[in-house]
Amino acid sequence: MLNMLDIYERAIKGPIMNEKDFDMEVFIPWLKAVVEKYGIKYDRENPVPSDDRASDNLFEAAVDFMRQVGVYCKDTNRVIQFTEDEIRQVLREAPGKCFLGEGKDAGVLGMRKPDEPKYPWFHSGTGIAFSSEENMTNMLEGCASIAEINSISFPALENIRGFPSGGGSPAEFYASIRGINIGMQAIKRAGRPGLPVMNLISTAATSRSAIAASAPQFGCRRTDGWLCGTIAEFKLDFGIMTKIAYVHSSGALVGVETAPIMGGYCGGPDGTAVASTAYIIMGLLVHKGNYQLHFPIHFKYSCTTTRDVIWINSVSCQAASRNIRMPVIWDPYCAAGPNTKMLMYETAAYLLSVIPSGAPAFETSHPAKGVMVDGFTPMECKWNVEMGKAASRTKREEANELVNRLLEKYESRIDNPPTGSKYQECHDVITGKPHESYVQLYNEVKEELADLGIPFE
Amino acid sequence: MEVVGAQFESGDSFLPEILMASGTFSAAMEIIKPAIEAKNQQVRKEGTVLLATVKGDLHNIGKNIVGAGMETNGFEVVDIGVNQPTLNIIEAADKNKADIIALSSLMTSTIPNQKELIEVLKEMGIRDKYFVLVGGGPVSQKWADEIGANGYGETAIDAVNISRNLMSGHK
Repeated sequence: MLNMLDIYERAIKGPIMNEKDFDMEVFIPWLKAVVEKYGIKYDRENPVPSDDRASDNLFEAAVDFMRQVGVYCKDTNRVIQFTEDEIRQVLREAPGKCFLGEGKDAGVLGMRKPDEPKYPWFHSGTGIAFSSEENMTNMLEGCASIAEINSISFPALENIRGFPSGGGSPAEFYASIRGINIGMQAIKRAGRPGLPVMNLISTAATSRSAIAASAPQFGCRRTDGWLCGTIAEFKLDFGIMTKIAYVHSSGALVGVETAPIMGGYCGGPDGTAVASTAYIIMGLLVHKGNYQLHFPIHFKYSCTTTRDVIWINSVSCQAASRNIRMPVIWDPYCAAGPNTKMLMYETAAYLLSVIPSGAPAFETSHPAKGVMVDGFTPMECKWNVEMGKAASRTKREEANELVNRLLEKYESRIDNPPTGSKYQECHDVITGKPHESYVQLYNEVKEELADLGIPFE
Repeated sequence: MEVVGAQFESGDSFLPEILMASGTFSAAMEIIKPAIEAKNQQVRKEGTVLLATVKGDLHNIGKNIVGAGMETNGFEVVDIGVNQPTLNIIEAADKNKADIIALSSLMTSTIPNQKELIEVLKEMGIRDKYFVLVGGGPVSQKWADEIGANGYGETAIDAVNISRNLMSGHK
């Protein structure tokens, strides 16, 4: 197994080339070549296919691609390369599970296969920006109080004492510590003090602030997970590599964060499906990740719920869950905001595309593309849990039909989605309870989708 | 380029095709431009755009799409890359005699740096020297209005059209 110093050695000794040449002369041509060699073809009519041989073929295409292309280091302008034997060895040795959390809230995040009726790991995705500490606390408490939730993300605190919390500034560092503190208090208030936090450190956009705020006295625990990203597409820098080295050396868990962009350097759905699968191999090979947060995303609509991206998610999820023992948390970004029917349709379609495809875990959906400040509520968390359970009782073939029906309900509005409501606009900020109008909308959509054939409890 | 641009807008072509077409276009212009100038004529230039992703933000794909769109629609594009401090951007705009500064930002934590650039231009007394365009995932028309940007582009084609409108008013 290669460790981070081995990766570093390749980053300073691998073939040198400028970044544009890596994109244009290596990444794009090899991706096109692999798509053609393995006959990867987007199937518009079947967003959730059920072909195991095609899944295994996609996996082999991803191995071939990884072997040919490698990973680019922006700090040294060199390519980190791997042999096929090294790739196969990492795949053989992968444990396929990780242990997270403390005490009664601890759990094991393991694998699932396509069409397996086992519940996935329910990860409450609340890792967006919040403007006020009070709203952030109430929202987190509401999500952590949902019994089925296995783990949680903390939101990013947008500012501290009115100073924006970005750019590796002292404000970013102070806001990072404050964000951890608020989050830990909120999960204690929900009676879930040991609930694993999977997106540390959300407020720290830079590796420098993330490492600084990770000192144990600020509240993070070794049983939580730190997100270590990548740079699109298939690139790293020393900041990311140092953060990975730090998290591994401290004994905590590395969560790999990857988001291939459909329509960007990956090209269309065929190429993005190969890149999506290869990113999961990269998570084991380069990051030595314990789990992975993965979201292939549309370049124009910045969401994961368009027809082509739904297909990419389904096929790469099937390829991975059959062949790569990495516990991947599949992460939906929806176009519509909270308190809208469209958000509930998008969530349903997404979960039906990945859970029957073998997703080990999923993150509850990010409304409004994850960019609306205060744009998440516990009602979305509840909907994801209900839909997640229903999706685990659905086979791929049935899911394919249902996803097509759901796409009919929202596809035409993907370029102009309703922004919906912020937390404080659809919840009582004192009690944390949803407004009656949101409850009614929720029940109405649930009834409508039950009539469509979704097997709710 | 118009054909590839239209295919890109309709979702039938993607960034690789745009970049390859753009590279071919630039290579062709290197041959054609001297021939045009030899006849005492000039290639029409819409304006010069200084393109950057703001400080703290490493995302470059949206910026590159805008750059390719601008370049193939007659703008001269100076792309100084990602994670660019405010003063670097302003100095590069001055050095390259830019008409437009186009700023990309994909993170809620980095969009304040778009605002910062406009404030620094004001502090330096040169706000009116440049049109400032903003774009990126968390950016909206509302944000652009709030910070006093001259325009917001949701897509590359928006950025081209807004830039053309601004430059025609400018001239």
